[in-house]
Amino acid sequence: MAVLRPYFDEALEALKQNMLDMFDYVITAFDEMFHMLESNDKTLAGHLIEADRRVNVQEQRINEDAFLIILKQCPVASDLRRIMTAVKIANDLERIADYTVNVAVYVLKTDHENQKYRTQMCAYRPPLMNMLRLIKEAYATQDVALAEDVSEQDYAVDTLYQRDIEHFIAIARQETDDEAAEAARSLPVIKHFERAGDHVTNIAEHIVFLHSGEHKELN
Amino acid sequence: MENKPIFTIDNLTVTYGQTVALENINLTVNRHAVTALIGPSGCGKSTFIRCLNRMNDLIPDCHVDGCICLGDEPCHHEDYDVISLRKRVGMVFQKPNPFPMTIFDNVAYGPRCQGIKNKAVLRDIVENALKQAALHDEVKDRLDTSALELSGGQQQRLCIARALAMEPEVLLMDEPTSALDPIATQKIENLISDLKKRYSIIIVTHSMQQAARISDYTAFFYMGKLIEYGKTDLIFSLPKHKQTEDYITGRFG
Ligand SMILES: Nc1ncnc2c1ncn2[C@@H]1O[C@H](COP(=O)(O)OP(=O)(O)O)[C@@H](O)[C@H]1O
Ligand SMILES: [Mg+2]
Repeated sequence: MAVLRPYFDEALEALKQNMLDMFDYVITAFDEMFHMLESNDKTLAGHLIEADRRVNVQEQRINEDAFLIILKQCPVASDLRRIMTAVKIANDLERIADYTVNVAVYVLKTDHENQKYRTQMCAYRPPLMNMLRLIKEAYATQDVALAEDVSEQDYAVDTLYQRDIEHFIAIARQETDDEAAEAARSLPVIKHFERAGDHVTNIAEHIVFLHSGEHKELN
Repeated sequence: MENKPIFTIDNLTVTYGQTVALENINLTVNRHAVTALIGPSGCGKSTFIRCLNRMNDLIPDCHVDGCICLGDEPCHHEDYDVISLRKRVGMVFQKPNPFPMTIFDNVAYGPRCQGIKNKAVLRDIVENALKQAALHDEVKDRLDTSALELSGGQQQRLCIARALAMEPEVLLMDEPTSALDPIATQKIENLISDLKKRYSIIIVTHSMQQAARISDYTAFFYMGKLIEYGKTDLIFSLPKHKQTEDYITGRFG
């Protein structure tokens, strides 16, 4: 059957491969970001800022490819959903990658002695890395159940975030100005992690739409 | 009346000798809407619309079974007057087929056959039909020239005007733009969207984009069966049947 539209299928396949590459770039960036936080490696911070360009270029490329496929093939039904969700997921991935740049800038700006909250920050590593890897797999295999499962895991991230917020509020109330200042500087970092989890949930919703045509709110 | 279906088709089966062209079709066609019929060649689209004004009566060997109601009236009943049916249900074909006579006489042909002789009345009918078919401005100064001198797109709009001059309720169109260039096609498409306010339109098309653009409802036929019927937006975004999906995405056909 596929022989009837070889060029169209080829273009869709290329789009998917570009998406999977983009997932890989973001997963790598996140992994390196946590490594940077643990080791306070400022060279790695520079590298992360540089590497984010590749993600931006990739998003651009996906947008251009999608535009041309729509232009040339006038896609309908599942073909159209495939293209639209690629564009939307690429946008979420780009936003997730942006957080690695912000965290890298944070590391570049902080002194050696101000590393009080690194352990707390690195607590987000297991759930977020797990979510990112699994959401890529859900996209690759069009596994809706897995996508919904991943969005459930965002509760763990939200719980960590709530806990940390309470903690920082307590510090701001009771501790010295220096302590409060460091807590304030650290707060955006964990906020980024919480947002990254939300973007993964968005991606899960796009995967559900891709499969079922339904706009379903997850988490 | 207004929201009652224009056609109700029950258990329609059509055969040509041994060939089963349509099998057990059930469908209601909505009033003041454009209904597109899609499906690969030979799936029975033309057979289906020919049933709606009993053009199949003219084909030897063609046997029609089942019930077709125009409004509340079973229009395949032997008591039903075929001439009055064809007046209520006009038809436009794939290839523009103007009669070899003047533009005026083409449009006046039907009304004249019905016995209208008064020149002023005929002039009004012709002008009105040409206006509705968005052709009047282009031909008003040469109504007495041969229709065969018109461009393909103009000829097709003339055929639409000729059908409209009979004041039908339904307009059947069998691939009306497949022989036309893009501009002429666009004019016909705009015309169809205008006309649905006054008429119910059923159009056969091989262009998925055309069906998506201009129709409100779409029926997908495959091998003589109605596979799926529903709102066009749904058919082209989330078809229920895999065969529909495969056809509209160009995986077969
Ligand atoms: N006049 C006819 N005599 C015999 N068989 C016919 C005639 N018209 C159509 N058929 C057959 O009926 C089936 C449906 O044809 P048709 O209604 O023309 O399909 P479509 O318009 O979708 O291409 C086909 O198998 C075709 O060969
Ligand atoms: Mg046909």
